[in-house]
Amino acid sequence: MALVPLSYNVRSLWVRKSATFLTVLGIGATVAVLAGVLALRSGFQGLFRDNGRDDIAVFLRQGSTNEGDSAFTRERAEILTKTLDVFEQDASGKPLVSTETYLAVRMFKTDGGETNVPVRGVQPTTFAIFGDDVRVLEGRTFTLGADEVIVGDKIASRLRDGGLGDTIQFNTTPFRVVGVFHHAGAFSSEIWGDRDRLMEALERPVLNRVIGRIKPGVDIGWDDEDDKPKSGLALQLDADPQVPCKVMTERQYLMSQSAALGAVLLVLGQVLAIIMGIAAVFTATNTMLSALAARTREIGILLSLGFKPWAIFLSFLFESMLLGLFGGVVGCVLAYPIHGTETGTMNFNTFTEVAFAFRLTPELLAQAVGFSIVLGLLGGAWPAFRAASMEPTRTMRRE
Amino acid sequence: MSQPLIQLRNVTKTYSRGGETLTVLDDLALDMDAGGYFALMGPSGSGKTTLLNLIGGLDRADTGSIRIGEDDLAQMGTGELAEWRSRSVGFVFQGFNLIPVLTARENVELPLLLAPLKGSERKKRAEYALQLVGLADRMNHRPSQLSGGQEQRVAIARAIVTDPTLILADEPTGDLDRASAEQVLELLGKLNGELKKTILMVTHDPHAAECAKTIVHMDKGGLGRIETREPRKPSAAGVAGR
Amino acid sequence: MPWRLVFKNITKHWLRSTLTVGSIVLAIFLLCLLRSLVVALDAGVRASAVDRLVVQSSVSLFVYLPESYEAKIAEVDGVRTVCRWNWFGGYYQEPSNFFAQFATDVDDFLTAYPEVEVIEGSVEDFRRERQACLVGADTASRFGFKVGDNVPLIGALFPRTDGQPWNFKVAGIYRSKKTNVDNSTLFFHTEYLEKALESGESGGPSGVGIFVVQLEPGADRVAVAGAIDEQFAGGPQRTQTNTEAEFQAQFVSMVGNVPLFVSSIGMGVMIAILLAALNTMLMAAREQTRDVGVLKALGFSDGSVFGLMITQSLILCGLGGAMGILLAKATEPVLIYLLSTTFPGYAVTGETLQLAVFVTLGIGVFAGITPAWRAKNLQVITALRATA
Repeated sequence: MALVPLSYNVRSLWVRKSATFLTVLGIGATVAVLAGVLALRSGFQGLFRDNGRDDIAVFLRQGSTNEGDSAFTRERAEILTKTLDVFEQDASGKPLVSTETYLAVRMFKTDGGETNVPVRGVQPTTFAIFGDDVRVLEGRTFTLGADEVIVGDKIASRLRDGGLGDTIQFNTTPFRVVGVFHHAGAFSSEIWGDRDRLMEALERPVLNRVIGRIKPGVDIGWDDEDDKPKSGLALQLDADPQVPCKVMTERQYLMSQSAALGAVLLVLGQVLAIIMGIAAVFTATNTMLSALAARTREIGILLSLGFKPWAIFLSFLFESMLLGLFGGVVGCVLAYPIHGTETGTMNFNTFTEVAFAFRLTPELLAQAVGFSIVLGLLGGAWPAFRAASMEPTRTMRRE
Repeated sequence: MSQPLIQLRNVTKTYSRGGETLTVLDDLALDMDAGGYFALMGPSGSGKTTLLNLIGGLDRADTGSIRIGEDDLAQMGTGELAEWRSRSVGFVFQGFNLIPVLTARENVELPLLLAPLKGSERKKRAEYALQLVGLADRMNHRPSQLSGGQEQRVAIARAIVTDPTLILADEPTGDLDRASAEQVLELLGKLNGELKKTILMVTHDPHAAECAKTIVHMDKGGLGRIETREPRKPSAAGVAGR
Repeated sequence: MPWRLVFKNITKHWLRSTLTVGSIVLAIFLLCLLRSLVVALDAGVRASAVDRLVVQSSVSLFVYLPESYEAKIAEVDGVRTVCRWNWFGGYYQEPSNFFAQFATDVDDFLTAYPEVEVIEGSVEDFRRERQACLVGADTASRFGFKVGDNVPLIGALFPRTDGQPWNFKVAGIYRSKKTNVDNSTLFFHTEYLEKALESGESGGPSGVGIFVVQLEPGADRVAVAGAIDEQFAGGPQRTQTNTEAEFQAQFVSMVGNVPLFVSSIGMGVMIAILLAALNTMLMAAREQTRDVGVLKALGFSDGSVFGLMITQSLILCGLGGAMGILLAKATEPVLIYLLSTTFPGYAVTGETLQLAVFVTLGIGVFAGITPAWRAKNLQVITALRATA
């Protein structure tokens, strides 16, 4: 069957340049805003999801939701590290498991504001567990038993007193910054030091979590969808008479820590998509209605030549789809510069600030363009219907 | 007759189109007396519409002077010119040029908005003008609800509602069938005969031109023959009967 | 100016005008919404009382101060009452059913916070019974808590050794007259928590989260704060004493780039809507080209033609803006309810409305000025030649 040549549409868009341009830019702005929100969410959640490991297990006190809540006495932590036979061993046969203390400490940012920075007291095995994931970029690592810390590279420059050689005071004890370390994930927004020195300086009587590299084949068995133990180690420790606790993979733990902000951003994105989307559809409809008015005679001629109404319908729909497509592409181009831009925000789950970069993934860009095409189609539907239901005799009469 | 109403001296008008300069009016001089009924005739491109636009103050001459009564159009600023138009000229166009969103009465009232009149007074005058053109019963119709002839009569009502001395008509019958055209010409004749309006009409239709008292022929930017003759009496009824 | 023409031009293309107004309504509504979210962030700061100080650990929000500090703070000159606040961190049935709970010294709390008004139940019952609690009106309506109800909370931070939830009895429902106290918190007796910790019924950290100090009338805030911090400078836990406003402000500061982020979204919304309005006005202007020519031929001045075009834009935008503002104001109560936990203090303030009016007018002028300028400079004979 005969379709109206697509080149008519392209020409029609070209003839009404300013309307096309404004509509494309308007849809573009909508898509750019949306892509921005999604890029923020993707950057934030990706930081946690992509850098959490499945071969590392995190042990928390039962009933706690994060390591700030979680607490183990030294004795209980020791029972876990000594009695569980699930950990990998290093070359010398020592199990790769360590205990950590954790506290969100108040610090000042270089811009004068206050922020909460996670301070983590770790053991030498902690570095062995993470291997190359955590590495010192500048200076050196802290000395065991000394009042020294290393600072994550994402926050070193954002914190007052966070640079190499500076001194940070924890309660009454000063600590020296001897190194800056890198981690692809959220550790790069933390300060690390010797576990025992930090426990003393911060007067932490308890340990916050136990972390260990798991032997291949061990089933951790935490169900993160339902947030409960399902099988294997998780089920076993849930009912443990001595040290009942929660265990999950590091990836599962980190994802649970980004859930609240992730959900807020998702809701924000959806609300924006709906409200701004409707506005964009209105604009597209207006533009297509003006195209309809300008092409009334042309439609009449096409109809009288024998083109079927549905061919006219499709032709108009195609034209508005093009508007949407161009808008989507423009939106992606507008949003692209934020890709990789560093930003920081408070993670509601941990009450600490986390630094990360906006991330526009190819899937996100595809989503954005898909969304804009839908906007175009919705905007074109009514004008296309109107065009298709015109009577040839009426359209050709003098206006 | 002391002084002509319209005095044109050394009027030249050129347009540049695609780098080429086109002389539309070349050193033209023309007098027209008050109370006259003039038809400007000539082939396309002879400059007749340009001349009409210049006399109506819609366009400006490159050189020369155009005096209408006491007013020298060349000396006026854009704002003064607009104000002068609202007082002194009524326009009738080929395409009627009514505002599509307004009713017949509102279209006629439009020029009165520029005069310091009360709403009720404006309404009264607009209704009177519509009565004059025989459309009192179509007052609340919109242009799209009127026939071409009726639209043009509304346009004529709009042209006379401010009681200007000069009516300028650019191909007023160009878009009309013969019967409607005769009606419009009859009306113009009445405006000239009974209301003593000076009328200048551009046309290329000899039937229309015949209705004027003076026919001015134009060709290639200059004046040709000027005929003064007994005008034909237009008759809508006669045409309708034929 | 031909006012009727303005009106008729708008109603002639009623669909286009409606769609344009519709998108402006949405945009202005969205702008008010976003702005109100940012306002909500520091609502607590602005509503803070001047006669209250907050004593917290200078190290961390999560570090507890020794019990013994209470008596020492009370001795400082200018201090009227000292009230302990402890974050309980429990949840109702599911962890997602989050709302704040604080253990506090009830008598001191009620004197120090006159803005907390008990609207149902009785203050006396709250004072008398150890397990009694006071619940914010928003939380009460969210979960259907009534006076006299038993509310079981699972203590994430203070787990009971028997594995059972904590039980609280609703003695009253409160509503705060100011935004520094939200309407979603549950307050209960510190003694209830203390006894459970002492008897070993519950695990969890001991100590006090923050002390809220109410000043004597006329006391010097800075001096009192300095005196308190001075006392604990040598440990065991150093303190930081701030005014309530400063205390609230640190949370705002922690939010980091969010306000900037929200402003960027707002800019995007504005740009999109500006383009939409401009598009409509240009379309309208193109259709009215011949009309403009006619008006000018009839003697209307360039200025009145300019006014005609810009008035059309202002009317469309003004209508949209007004409806957007109304929508924002009309949805305010619903959003306050929906956002009571995430954004307590959500309010469409006068300042937000001013901004919305300003933006609306800005868009109206900006969208109208190009077509108006074009119409003003249009040559009559060119305009008359235009096909409608």
